[in-house]
Amino acid sequence: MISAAELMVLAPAFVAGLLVLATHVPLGQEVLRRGIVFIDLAIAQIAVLGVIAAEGLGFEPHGFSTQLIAACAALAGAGWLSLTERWFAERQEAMIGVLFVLAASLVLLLLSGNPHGAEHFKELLEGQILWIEPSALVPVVLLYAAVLRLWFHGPVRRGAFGFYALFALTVTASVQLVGVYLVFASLIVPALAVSRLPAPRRLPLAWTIGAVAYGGGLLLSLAADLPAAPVIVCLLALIGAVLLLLTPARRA
Amino acid sequence: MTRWEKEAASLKGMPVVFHHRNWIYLAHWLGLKEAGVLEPKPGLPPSAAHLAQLLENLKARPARAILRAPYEDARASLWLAERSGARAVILPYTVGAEGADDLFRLFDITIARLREAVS
Repeated sequence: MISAAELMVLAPAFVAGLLVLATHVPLGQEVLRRGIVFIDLAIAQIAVLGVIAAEGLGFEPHGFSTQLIAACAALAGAGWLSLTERWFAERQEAMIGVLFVLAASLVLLLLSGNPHGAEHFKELLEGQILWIEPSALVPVVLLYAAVLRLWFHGPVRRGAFGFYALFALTVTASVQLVGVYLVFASLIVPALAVSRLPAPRRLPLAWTIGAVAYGGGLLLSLAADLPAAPVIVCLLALIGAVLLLLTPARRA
Repeated sequence: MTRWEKEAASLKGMPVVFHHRNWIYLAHWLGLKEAGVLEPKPGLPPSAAHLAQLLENLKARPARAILRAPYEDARASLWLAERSGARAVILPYTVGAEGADDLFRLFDITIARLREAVS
């Protein structure tokens, strides 16, 4: 059984995981529908660029100004992508790829003068899911409640910019909680795994396998003494693959 | 030297957590007691299992301070401070850091910050 101290270490990470899943699973379904899978890497990378640029300007790493700059950077990226979707719809995926490489390279340039750059870069990719303070989750809960409300009951769903803007704000928050890799996995894997199921069952099942992967992955990382984020990604991919293989292909 | 040792007399036997074992000479000189290490492998983030073990140990034998150099990740120290009640303390690791302009100031600042954590 797990001890009280172990629970204290893992619980905030698990709650953060559930929060990330709450928003990323429905947004991920839309990303798959639009066929723009790499948008997540691009937007997350731009948000990271915003964070690093803000730190370079001397703002507190997790302070309000840094969040504001990161959110503005991600929104600017989202705005640009909603324009390119209209201008060259058939080249949207290529646009997203270029934006990703550009943002990643700018991050490397900004960090080139920093002796701890490589470590810092890895931290943003892998996330530091164990260091999450419960108090840091409060603004994320508020933001995500607003995002989910707008997504399921608001007028934004159809409009391109509405979707890209909600997406940008959601990812800006999550990438700093759990890192680029977990954000991508939470967005794409559950949505992909349930894509062959009848529509009404998709969302609940996608949320469930996400929650199982976060819970199981955290416990597994504890038992095997391995870093949490990559274990969760691997478990999520495994569960997703099994589910996808078990569901028969539907005839269109 | 004697003045510093007199000032630091109250620190003798104080249980502290190291960020990693770079403070071992200081601890030896002042008689600080090692209550745990946050990063057993320098530069590698600690695993959940290690953190849980550390929290258990600190519950049984609480530490007064968590020592780290200014270049070490603050999140780990603050995380542990929040959960264990020990104070997170930044120490100058060499002359030139944290306002320690010369060797004398280095020891002055180090001892003053440790004493602050005890008070």
